[in-house]
Amino acid sequence: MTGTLVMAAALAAVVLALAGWRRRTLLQRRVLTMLALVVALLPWPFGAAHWLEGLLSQLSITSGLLAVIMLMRANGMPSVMPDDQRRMLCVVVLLVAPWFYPLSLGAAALDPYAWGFGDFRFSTALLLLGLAAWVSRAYALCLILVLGQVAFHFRLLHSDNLWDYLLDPALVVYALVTVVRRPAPAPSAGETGARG
Amino acid sequence: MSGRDKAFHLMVGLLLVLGYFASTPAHIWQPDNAVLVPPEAGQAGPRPGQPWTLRAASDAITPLVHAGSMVELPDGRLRAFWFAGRREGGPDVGIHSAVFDPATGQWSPEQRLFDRHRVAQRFGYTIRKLGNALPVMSADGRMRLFVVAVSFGGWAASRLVVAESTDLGESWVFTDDLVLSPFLDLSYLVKTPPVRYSDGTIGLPVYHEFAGKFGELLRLTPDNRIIDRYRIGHGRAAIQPLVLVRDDHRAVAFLRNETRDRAGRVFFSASEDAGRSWAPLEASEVPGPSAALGGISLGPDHWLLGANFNAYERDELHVVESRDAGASWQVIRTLADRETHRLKPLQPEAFRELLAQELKQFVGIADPATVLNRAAMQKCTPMGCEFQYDYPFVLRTRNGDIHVLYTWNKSLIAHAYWQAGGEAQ
Repeated sequence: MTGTLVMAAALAAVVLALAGWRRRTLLQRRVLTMLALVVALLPWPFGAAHWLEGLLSQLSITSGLLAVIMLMRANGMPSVMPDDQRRMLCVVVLLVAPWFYPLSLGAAALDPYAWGFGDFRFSTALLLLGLAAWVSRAYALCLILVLGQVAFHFRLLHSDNLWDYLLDPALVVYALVTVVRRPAPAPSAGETGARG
Repeated sequence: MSGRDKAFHLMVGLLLVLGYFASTPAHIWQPDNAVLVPPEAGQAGPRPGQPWTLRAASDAITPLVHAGSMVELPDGRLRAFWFAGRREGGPDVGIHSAVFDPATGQWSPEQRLFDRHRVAQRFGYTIRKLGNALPVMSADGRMRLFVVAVSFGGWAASRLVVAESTDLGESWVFTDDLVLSPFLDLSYLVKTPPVRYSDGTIGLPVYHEFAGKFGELLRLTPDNRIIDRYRIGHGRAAIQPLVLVRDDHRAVAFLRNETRDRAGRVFFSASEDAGRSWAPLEASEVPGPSAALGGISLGPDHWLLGANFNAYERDELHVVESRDAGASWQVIRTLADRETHRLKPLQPEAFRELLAQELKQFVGIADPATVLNRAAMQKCTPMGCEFQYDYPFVLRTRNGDIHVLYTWNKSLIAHAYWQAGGEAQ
């Protein structure tokens, strides 16, 4: 169920992005969000979220939270994640993905994906990453990390692997687009999406 | 920083510590001292020239059958599984099953257990086709069936789903969708039987064949939680690992060779730490085309394989044995040998004639004409007909009997049966 909700949120966020939500009125954004969520969450075999889960597998909690944050912003709610933190997250994703995916898919004997089934070194590395974000006052990053870990603990997705709660290929694509399209850090305040 | 900001800062710091503990599953707080459960010692194996009985587990009710597997039931019977339909990868393919009773020497009628729609309904996403099914019997009498399911594309886009049965395989409930890959959950398949650990977990051999081609041993709890996985090879070299246990710490793996520059030999790897790490792949003394293997361990250095045992084709299939830890192998039973027709495709009439002779060696083929029609349909093209005997699955039952299932020209799930200390029925 969590995986379907994550996929539905991501789908709605993509729909809003493709529709150019900044140019729309608040009412239009809300209608668009509702429509996208309804279409995504129709029962199987009609729901788009189910169909995409079959195609892409489940998205990570990170992707889901980013989508929810984007939907909140687009629907006139205050931004809970400054742009510089979003960009920082994207940079981290882009630093991890180029070695993580090839190795996990068999490029060498080392298998970083196996760490996600439970490994003190991996959990410690994540803790250090979180502490670095904490020291930098990047609280949204800290909370995204913690929520992913808690979701893993309660196995809210199908996967038994912590990586799947933190990272997914769609998130890598999103990070790439974000970093390429906005190479310079954007201002963290002001853009609340409540212009409609 | 205001007092409120400071409190929030500290709270987030505490949450990070909470996250650390949440990310460390319970099993890693316990030392993993589990060892492999070795095969029962002192079992004799078949000798060359001893009788084997040939039967068919399938009834030729579908044009295609493939990838037989089996498990021993608590009462000594066997339940076999395979996939069947009009063609491999077709939308009508379902998982079929039958039960063999050694007391009567008969297979039950073939039954269709489920198809892709059942899987799709359970997990709520599209399933285009089903493939290999592998049964595992638990100590509590539950049976698990690991099934290859594909949502889109070919076998390289496979996933593994798990069904459970509490009535020895008569009815099934899908329970789990195993996520094994970080990239769209692609592409894991299963073919060979698991090894067992002393803590009740199993090591399920799986393989990847999308970006790379390599094997892994997946450590699974009885309730299908993945607690670790161990890679056997890497790159694009070998798939379908067959893991044989030598003793509580040592195991070997034979893998189907998928290389072009090093083709012709089955790959081999060894583990000295109960399967947790594996030596680099090396060519074994077993010749093999790119084809699946079956096998069992009869002792630390005494292994039995079902293998094509030639470097080129699947037109011969043998039971071969090594008593010196793989240094040398001898054929102890030839299940099929059409090497003389290799590269010389036959016309359908001649092909059917030769197959009809083979079928006469089988016990209890009810409708040989249908089987021959199926085989001709599967294996004949305008260029001629070719023989195919592959996907052996070997099982030793508790009483020492040895059973081999294999695909006979994609038309039958054939069953070769050797009885320990007795004549074949």
